[in-house]
Amino acid sequence: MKQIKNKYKVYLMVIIAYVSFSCEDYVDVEPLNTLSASSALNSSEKVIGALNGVYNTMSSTALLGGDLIFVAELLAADGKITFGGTFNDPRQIINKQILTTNSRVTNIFNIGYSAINRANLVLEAIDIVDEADRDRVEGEALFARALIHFELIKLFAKPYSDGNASSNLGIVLKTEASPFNGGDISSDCNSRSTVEQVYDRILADLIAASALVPTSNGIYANKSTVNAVLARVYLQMGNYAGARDAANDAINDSGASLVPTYRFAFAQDANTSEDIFSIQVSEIDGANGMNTFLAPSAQGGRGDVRITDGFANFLTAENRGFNANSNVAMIIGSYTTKWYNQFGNVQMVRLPELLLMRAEANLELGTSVGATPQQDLNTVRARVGLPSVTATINSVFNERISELAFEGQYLHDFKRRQLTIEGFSFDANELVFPIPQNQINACPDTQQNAGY
Amino acid sequence: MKKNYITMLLLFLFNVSVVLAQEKNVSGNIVDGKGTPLLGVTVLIKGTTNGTQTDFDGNYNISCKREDILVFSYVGFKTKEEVVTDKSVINITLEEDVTSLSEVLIVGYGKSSKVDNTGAITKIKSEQLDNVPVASIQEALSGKASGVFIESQSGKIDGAIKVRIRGTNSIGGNNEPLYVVDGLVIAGGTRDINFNNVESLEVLKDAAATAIYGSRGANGVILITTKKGKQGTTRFNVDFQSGTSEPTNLRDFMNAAQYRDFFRVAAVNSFGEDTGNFFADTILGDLSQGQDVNTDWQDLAFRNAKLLQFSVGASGGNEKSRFYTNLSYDHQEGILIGNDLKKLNGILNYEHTVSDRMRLGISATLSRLETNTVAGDNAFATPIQLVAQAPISPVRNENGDLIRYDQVGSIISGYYSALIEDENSTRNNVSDRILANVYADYQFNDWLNIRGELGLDRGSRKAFVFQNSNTQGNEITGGFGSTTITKFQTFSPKIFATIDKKINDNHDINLVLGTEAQKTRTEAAGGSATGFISGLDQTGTGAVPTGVVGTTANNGFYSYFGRLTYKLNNKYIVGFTGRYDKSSAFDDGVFFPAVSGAWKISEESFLKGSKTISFMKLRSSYGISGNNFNGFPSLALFSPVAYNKLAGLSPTQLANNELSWETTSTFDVGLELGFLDNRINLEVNYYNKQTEDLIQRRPIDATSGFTGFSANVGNIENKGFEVTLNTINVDTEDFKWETNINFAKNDNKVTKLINGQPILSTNDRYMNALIEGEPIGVFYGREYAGVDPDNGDALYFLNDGSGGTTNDPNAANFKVLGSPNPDWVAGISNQLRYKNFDLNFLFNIVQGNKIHRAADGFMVGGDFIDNQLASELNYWTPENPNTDIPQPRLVGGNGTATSSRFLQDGSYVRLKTISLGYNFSPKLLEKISLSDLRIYVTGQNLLTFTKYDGWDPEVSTDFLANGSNVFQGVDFYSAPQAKTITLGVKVGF
Repeated sequence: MKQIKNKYKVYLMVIIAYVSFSCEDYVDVEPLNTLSASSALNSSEKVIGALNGVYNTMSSTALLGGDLIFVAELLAADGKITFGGTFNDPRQIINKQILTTNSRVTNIFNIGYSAINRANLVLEAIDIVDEADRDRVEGEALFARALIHFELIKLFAKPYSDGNASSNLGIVLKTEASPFNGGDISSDCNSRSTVEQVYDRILADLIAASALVPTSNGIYANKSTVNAVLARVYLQMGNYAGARDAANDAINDSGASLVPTYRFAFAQDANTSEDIFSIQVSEIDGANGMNTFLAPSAQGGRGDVRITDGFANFLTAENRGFNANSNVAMIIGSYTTKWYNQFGNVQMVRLPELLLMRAEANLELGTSVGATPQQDLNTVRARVGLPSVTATINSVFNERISELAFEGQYLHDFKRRQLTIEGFSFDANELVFPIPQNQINACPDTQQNAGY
Repeated sequence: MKKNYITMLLLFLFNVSVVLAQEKNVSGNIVDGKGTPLLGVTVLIKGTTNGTQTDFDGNYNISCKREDILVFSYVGFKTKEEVVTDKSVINITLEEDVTSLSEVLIVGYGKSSKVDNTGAITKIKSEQLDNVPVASIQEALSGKASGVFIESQSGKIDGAIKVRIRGTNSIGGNNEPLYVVDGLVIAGGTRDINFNNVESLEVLKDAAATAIYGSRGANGVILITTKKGKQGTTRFNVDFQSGTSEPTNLRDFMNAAQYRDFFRVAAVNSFGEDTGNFFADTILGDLSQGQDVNTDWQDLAFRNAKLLQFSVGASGGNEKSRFYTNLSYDHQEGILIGNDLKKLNGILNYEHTVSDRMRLGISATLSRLETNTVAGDNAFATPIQLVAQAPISPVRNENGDLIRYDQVGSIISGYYSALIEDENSTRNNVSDRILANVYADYQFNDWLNIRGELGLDRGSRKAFVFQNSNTQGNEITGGFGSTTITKFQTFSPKIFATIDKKINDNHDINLVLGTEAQKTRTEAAGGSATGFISGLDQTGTGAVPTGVVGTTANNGFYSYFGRLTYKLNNKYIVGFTGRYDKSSAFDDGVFFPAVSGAWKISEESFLKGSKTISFMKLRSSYGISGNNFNGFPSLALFSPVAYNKLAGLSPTQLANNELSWETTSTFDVGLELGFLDNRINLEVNYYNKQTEDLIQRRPIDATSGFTGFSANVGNIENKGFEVTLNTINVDTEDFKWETNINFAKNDNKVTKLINGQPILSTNDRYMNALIEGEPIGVFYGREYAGVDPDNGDALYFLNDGSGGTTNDPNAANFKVLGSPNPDWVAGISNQLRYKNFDLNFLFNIVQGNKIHRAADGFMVGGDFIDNQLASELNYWTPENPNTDIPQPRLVGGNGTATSSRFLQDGSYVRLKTISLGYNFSPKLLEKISLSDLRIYVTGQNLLTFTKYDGWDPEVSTDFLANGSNVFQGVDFYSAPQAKTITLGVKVGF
């Protein structure tokens, strides 16, 4: 009996020993599904990974993956489209009654700056990158930073074209990465630069990027991409010489050619021959936010945005609308087929836009750099089987409206050319987003945009 | 340092001995009325400090003189005295003390008694839980414990259940209490526990009771004690219960004719006669699909649900071993189409007496839970959203196929429906779980016990989804499937020593010292795919893999804890509790202390012997407990991302080097009173809980690239009082009537936010906010001002001080409109027994909370194609100017903006449970060799008294309330609760 008792005492002691033995083991736990910041950007491979992370952020449906196009289309609906969905946020935008709490606006702002910060982190870690990749990585990060600043300033500030760019409030210009400890920045608030300051920085970044990125870079930003965005920036600034040359460089570097059938230039799984830059979407990663709202449910969308009869007829007359052959029709029912592919790439710049930019700029300047405006216009029209018309500012602009319909350019084109949209002046408060309420709450000194 | 501590503890424990004087040996066995041996009965020689306690088998042995009087006392039983004389064996049967004050209380790492306890603890006994026809222990507990507010989110059978003990403590963290099953802190949910196997539930509410759980105690603790076997012949029991459920309430929507007229009026109001009628003709034509029907879509969301419960069990044992075992099967259909739950549950509690000093045992629960779930409340595919379909719309076309209204329509699209989802998809979850606690108990002598436990909570959950190509969003992918298997395992060893020593008549010391650790590993693996051939739905049969899951997460902590209780003269009691916790989530460990005291006033000479006041105890406590977090909230983290099918890395979380636990300081004072020989018991508690350092996302300048980081920023306060009144109204042989009333009032207030800055809903559709000085989740929004009699415009108060109104919702300033938290809650239950009949019923009362009917904006104003509430028919017209229903306007948004128009008092009184039973008399049963036979009828939620206009006032929409403590009290197409009637039979032999 005594022996048995002792045996159990031993058992008890074993349990005690076990519990007391390894207390620290119970709390010595490392994250397995994430990397802590200290080990995140310490090798060339990881910094290049962080650059891919920048693209991933830009590809978000809040940015290039959808909303940057979608909100521009809503804001400039201008009788072309209606919104029949149940979501409040898009309805506020199409009605030009945007609340400062609009979550779509908030997401564009927040995720936009997140992309910028991530690009800045890559730039600050650039010395770690292997020399062979360093220029490319730096160029792409500069491009990303410039592109997102450009997209944000077009939506959150008065247009450059209103003549007061040097005094109008732009957006916060961020060229340094934030520190990793929240406590270090909890009370810091950045202030908004002027429109001109922001554009100047965008230009500087893009020009620098253009010299760093290669001519060919897979689906990632290359020289042609950088110059295409540069051309858009110059056009917003009314700098036609800059736009013309950048567009011409982009065309020459691109090696792109028009897809013979207009319908097949869109909603494709892979980049088409005329794509200059596209957000990559597949079943596995990425999402096509435009499909969600502009495609009918039979094509994987919600079918919330419908084309009005008037605009459908206009596009049909431009050979980009209804067609007896449903395989090549660009409008079916009241939906555009441009966003029919749920897992298709989201195009950002296509070759026709470059041709039309070059044509417009050459017309403004009376030059024929690269090609005559008439040649460029004919190229674009011939592809859709339209006869030649005389190239004028108006005819080229008209071609843009039909060629680039539902691609998010209408709003910015009308603003830069100082045209009214739905009766709103090009520089109307209603056509500018509010600074999100959350941002005002976090930084109460931030100046809200006029009209909010 | 730590090792030294353990060594000292061991030395202390092992080097003890007791010497007793010896004159004559008396031994005996002590059992209760059912013959079960009683462990730990105090046997004392009257007038001395000499005594002993019974062992596991109820045996004792004491030296005494023949003229001595032995006093046998045991918590929960009436004390008995016996003169020794010449007897050498004195066997005693102790009689149970039936008043509630004599109850044994299970407390953290030990036991106490109701009379001596210094904390606020509510005990719920098994008979209050048995056979309630619900799917979870929380629902069975609803309304029964004061200060415990329990709310089922909706009538979804697998919906989450909110449990708040004395209010909401945390904004960003967990608010659910800690669940402990037979000493094992469980990491997963509690659905796997069959409450019919539960012997008692102890709800620990104040710091005196919860501080021993340290960093996990702030939200209160619910101790679940399962039934154990008793010595005696093996008893078998079989339970069978079957019934049906239906929704508690339906809402009135328009019929086809009303809808047609109303829609046309709304279209014409917005667009004029020509365009309006054109729109109406086109849209009504699209929606009616050429058929003339009057479809009651609401009815199609529900079904008459069946419920079946079956269990078989046995228990018994001998001197050496005792066991309790039970196997049960439950099948409960939800009232919503496609929603059901099946549960298989087995329990084995086994205890073996190794020697008169040592016991070994295991408590093990095995369960399988299978649920078929429906989509979240905000999805078109959820059954209740069928009410949005137009009553003029036929369900099926001429071919008998379901019509997809999201694919018809030339101006606007209609809605996808749950009927299509139900017919073409599967959402199936299967969980397996093992809860096991192995223990060894060693009684060194009559005052020292050491217990070691190894606990295991291990489980897996398979979440399976399949949607074929007829479902929305999957038309062109050929269907979507996903399977994710999550495994978790929590291992928790602990050991603690209990010293229970009486030093002469005056001093009682109880000391618990122990250490505990816990480690949880959660692993998930799975994938998703598209492209399925008809007839195949397993994820692996999909053509295109679209996603993969593979994660592992670890959490852990270790602790030291202790509790000292000292009782002087059986009148004055003080308690000290402390626990040190070190968790993997935070850099530093924290010590959580509590101090408590009680004064048994009725033991004082001026009250002793009073017939009127038979018991009176004043107690108070103050202490601190915490709220644990998992993961790595204080680290800066980069997450893996993918773009262009290549790996990438993005920063996703900022660090906070100073992050620490949320802590709750609780002050509690309570008075316990027993009147008329304790036939009336009254308990009153007041508490004041201050929670500080709430972990909340601290917003920062978003241009930094981050919108915020986790920081200890907020404070929240809960103050309130609770009253519990138990009365035995009649107690005769034939008729017994008991009443229990509990009442709790809690005032919740957010006392500090970052820079005093309110945090408002970022989605304009919901109004819940965090505002300093207001309760958590307070509704903050536009104030509806009714209808302009001149033009039918919906009006809103400007709230700019002018007292004016506006028809522009954007011009209306927001104001505080009400709180989703109830002012007070109460439960009133009655147990009546007349001869062989018994009747129990429980009323649940919830008062003063507001509910936001957030989906009603779609059901009014003729804004879109949704079917409208029948009450909209009283809309404004020039002939009907004095109404509060604005003029309907198609896409006009007249009165549909989020406002106090959709906010309503959600008070209710509900007959939560009623049960009528008949117990066959033992005489009759003897003839058929049965020991028990009972048949009963039980009703759940049979009657609800409320002015609430939504489906049911017990509501919090799942897609908001899951994961948010702020978005409470929102009704967004949430299913009403189930009203259930069951018939059951219990057989024992």
